[in-house]
Amino acid sequence: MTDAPFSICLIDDDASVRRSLQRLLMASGYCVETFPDAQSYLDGRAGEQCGCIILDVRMPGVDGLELQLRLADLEQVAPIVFLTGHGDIPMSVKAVKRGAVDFLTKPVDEKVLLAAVDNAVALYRRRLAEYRNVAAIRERMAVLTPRELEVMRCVITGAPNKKIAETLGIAEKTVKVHRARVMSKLDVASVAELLQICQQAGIEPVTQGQR
Amino acid sequence: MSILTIAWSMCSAASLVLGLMQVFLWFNERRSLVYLLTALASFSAAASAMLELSLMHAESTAAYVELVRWQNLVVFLILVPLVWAVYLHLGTGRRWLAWLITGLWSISLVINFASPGSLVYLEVRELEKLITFWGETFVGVSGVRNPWVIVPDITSFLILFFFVDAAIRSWRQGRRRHALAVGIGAGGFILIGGIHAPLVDAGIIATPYMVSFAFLTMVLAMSYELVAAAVQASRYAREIEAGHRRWQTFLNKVPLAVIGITRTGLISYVNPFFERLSGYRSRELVGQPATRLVSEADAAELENRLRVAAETGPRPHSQWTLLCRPGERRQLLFSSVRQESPEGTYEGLLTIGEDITDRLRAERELSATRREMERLMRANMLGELASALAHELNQPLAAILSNAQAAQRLLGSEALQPQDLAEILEDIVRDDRRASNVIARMRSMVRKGEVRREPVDLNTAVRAALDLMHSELDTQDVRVVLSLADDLPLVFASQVDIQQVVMNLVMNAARAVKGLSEDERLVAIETLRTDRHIRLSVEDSGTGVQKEIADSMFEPFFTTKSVGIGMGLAICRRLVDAHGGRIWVENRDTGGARFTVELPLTEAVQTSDD
Repeated sequence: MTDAPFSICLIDDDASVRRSLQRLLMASGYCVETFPDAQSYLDGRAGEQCGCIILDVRMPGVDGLELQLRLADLEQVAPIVFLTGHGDIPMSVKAVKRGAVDFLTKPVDEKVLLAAVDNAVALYRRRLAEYRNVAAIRERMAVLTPRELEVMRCVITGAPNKKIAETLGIAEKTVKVHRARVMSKLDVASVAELLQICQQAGIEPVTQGQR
Repeated sequence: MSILTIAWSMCSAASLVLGLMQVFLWFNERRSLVYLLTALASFSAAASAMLELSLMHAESTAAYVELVRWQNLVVFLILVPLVWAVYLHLGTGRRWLAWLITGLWSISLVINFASPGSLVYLEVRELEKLITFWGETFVGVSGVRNPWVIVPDITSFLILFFFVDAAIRSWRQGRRRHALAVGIGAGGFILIGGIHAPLVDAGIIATPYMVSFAFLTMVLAMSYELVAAAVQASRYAREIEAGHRRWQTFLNKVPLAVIGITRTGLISYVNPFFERLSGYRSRELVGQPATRLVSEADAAELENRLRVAAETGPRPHSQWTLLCRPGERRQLLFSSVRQESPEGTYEGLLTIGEDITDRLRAERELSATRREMERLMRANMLGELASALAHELNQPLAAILSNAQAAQRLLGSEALQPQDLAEILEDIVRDDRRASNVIARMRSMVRKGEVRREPVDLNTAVRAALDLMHSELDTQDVRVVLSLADDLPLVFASQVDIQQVVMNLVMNAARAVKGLSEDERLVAIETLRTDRHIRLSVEDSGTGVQKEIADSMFEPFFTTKSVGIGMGLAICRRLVDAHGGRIWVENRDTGGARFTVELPLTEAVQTSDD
């Protein structure tokens, strides 16, 4: 895992608030980018990842809660910390249910803000690591042939070679060959290890009677 | 049987009956002296007829003279009452003439009883047997005529003149029936009495005196008049009865309380509705003081009002609380009228009251509901206001806190640049001002009228407002074009308020141009002086305003934005109103909206400007 500093995106329609929070976060060692409204963020930054989004709720145009939905659609993994001038309970519940890390109200104390941002960034790190791990496994699996993939999905059900041969309608010997190739291509020593990476990559075993 | 006896007896009887009728009428209406006078004349005519009959059969000259004396008295008793009766009845006779006639006849009476013979003859020499054309004998006389007989003869002509004159005047007044009756009566009287009797006196024609018949015509005419009046009266009575029934029905059925109060403040009448309303029977109330209908506390006031009503007339409307028998109180709204006798003396009050208890209760409930609604609305508005206040205050407070904490952090690091710290402090000061402006503005909204007024330069206010919004406008890439008049006089106003108005209008304009491309985001601010006003206009290059909403834009909570609570323009209008100015919006010919604020110039400020 890398410790490279993540930039933090701050979206708030109040210029003073933007500038002051930017200063505070920068003084705490973060790299901060500010946006006066949701649209300018979507236009300028949405494609890239950032460590955390600090988001105002009430803004002209697209408001904070709506932006949260749009980012989810875009598979943006950056955790969101809401920061609002006057929030209410229904609003905060809605935001947290949709995955927000925190829901803070202005004026916010630096300790509270920084703790939330730290949490969010840590979460982002974990998500990123996971994402990278899965990406690596998927990269390895990409070299498997379709038949090998098929055999692998049968292997992780725990079925013996004979049963797999029956299921796939091929010779037991052929199954053995494919199995050995899968193990070597993926660089795993045991079926248990194979099962683990398959789970991480989200590959499902073949269910009974699927064929 | 003697025709003379029959005729004169019938004449006497007829006069007697007419007299009795008049007496009867007079008994029913004591005030009509006319009836009594006519009755007296009628009875006298009856006596006259009997005396004449006696004269016809007089057996000695002495008896004849005596009878003539009495006859003259009776004639006096016919003529004088008749004259006065006509005088009273027609009202057109000449009073002096009536007195003259009365006086002359009184003199005649004195002569009548003083002279040795009578008024007619000084001396009766002998009785003569005269024969009527149908062969009946009666007594006539020959003798020396009394020269004083000229007095009653002249008087007869005066009476004729009196009657005819009164009849003519009455005719002219349009009372033709009365005039005709009196005229015919007088005509018959003159024909028979005035011409015939002197001829008999003078021995020119040989008939008995027929004075009673002459009087009979007069008495008949007067009787006809009076009986007609009685008939008329009974017709009036029927009409009055119908009118009375109509009013009685009204009083009995109308759902209004009707009360009669005497001039001494006693209840003289209550209608059935009032009985039902109060729970008291009419007989329990009539004769009682009106003050017992109200509470003791109100009694003195009612007494006072009744006294004033007696002196100067009642108030047209007054409201009283009525004490009803079951201990219930009812509110009545009374309309009162003075009741006066035909002579105009005050007799009491008639008052009609409407029971408004239920209406008052409904009104009270309605106003309670309205008050409650107003309270709720105010509470809602306060909630909105508090929420807006929180939002607007939290922004600068958040910025101040974060800036201060950022500064603390920077102080602890080696990378501290004095320039950075200066910027932070500058921002803190600005945000602090912003926060206090929000509070000042809210306060001026809540407690309007308590704002401090001072001479304000509109241009300065515009620049100050723009300074406050500088960064806001910068980030939105809105370009502001200023066109400020040089010769602008000061206005007497609240600096904060004017600044607030400018800020709100510029903020609106900035939002209006947000969707445009960068080089089109234009806001123009202009100040100028007109004859009696100074003007500020803020124009934008946006899409303008729809005509339908141009007015409601200035209402509280009107908004087209997804954020904000729609107070901006409402605040503007309120502040401008408080300064005696106007604010309006119109669309520019080239597109976009123009908001204009007009503030009045005052004399004092204009001179202080010089």
